[in-house]
Amino acid sequence: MQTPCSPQERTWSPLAERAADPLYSANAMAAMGGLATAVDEAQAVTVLSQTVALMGADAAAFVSFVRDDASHESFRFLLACDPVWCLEYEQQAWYATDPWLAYALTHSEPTRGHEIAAGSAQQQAVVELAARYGFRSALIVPAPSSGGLTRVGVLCLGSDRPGYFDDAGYLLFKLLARSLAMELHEWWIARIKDELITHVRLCDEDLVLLAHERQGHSTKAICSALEMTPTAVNSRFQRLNAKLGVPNRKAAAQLAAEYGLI
Amino acid sequence: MNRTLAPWTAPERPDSRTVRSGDGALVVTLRRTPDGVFVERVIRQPGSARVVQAVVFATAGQFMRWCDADRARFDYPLVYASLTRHADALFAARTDLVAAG
Repeated sequence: MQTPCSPQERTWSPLAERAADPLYSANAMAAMGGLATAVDEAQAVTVLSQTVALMGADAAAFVSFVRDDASHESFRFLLACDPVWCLEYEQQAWYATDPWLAYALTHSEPTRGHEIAAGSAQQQAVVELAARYGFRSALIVPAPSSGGLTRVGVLCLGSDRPGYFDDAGYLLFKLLARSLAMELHEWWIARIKDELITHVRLCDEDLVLLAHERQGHSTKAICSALEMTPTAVNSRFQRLNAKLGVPNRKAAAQLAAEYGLI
Repeated sequence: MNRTLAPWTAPERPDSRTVRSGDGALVVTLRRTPDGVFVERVIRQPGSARVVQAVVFATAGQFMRWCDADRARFDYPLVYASLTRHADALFAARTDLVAAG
């Protein structure tokens, strides 16, 4: 059985050979479509695992990053690879120096691991760690967000074979990988948005208030638009800040934007 | 400001088992799935990023190997004792289901 954390041993064939199969794209896209009905991370991991196996990769990790405020960052990993890799990565706090992640934060086009410079010893160590856990060859696929938001998704697809992504199958593989990265990113944003709405219990009025703050409106302008007193507006923001666990209303509006609420 | 991002963390589902460290820095949730046991591990150390890992283990052996590789087990031995106990129960229940067809 194909399992998410330990890809099944299968007969090896070059990527070009797999991509030449007339059903290659259709099968991968059909598996990817499972994300539309994935209701939780467990199902998303399973879809990720099945899709990358059909694409011919040995390992995959989708990482979503969001900076909740100036001093708090979150990384979420969906793992279809040996999860010990992620433990070692996290324990070394290597997300701070990961050259692949750094690439994804500043670029939008997919690229292969060997095309990203790993200059420092620490960066090389990050790449070597990945190589030990199924990413000897890697394709890094950013899924960026627009509008000054920090949130970004990164799909990393790996093969234990050096040069696996360097043959004629690469172009089709890259096309599918890009679709998968964007689908995962969209799924993740919908998921965290739903979590926030459900568990913080925000109402429409809260969202309107946060949208005003996000647009930089003053308390006076908000009071005028919503026909509320300054005391009521400030009190409402204080409750919102507490519910969201942020120190001020600017951070509340930023968090709401990062999580796709406004 | 010292704060936690926990206020809107998803509540425990009835089919999940969640183990938390006393200081709240480590939260691990287990849930049986058709493919094995789903594990979500959330760690938040002071001054560092919040890291969430989600993975599905097909066998108890894979899960134990992962637990053995986690250095957090030295900081939170009770969490890991509880985790392995829960995982054993979930894998055993899954084996029973598979055997029952």
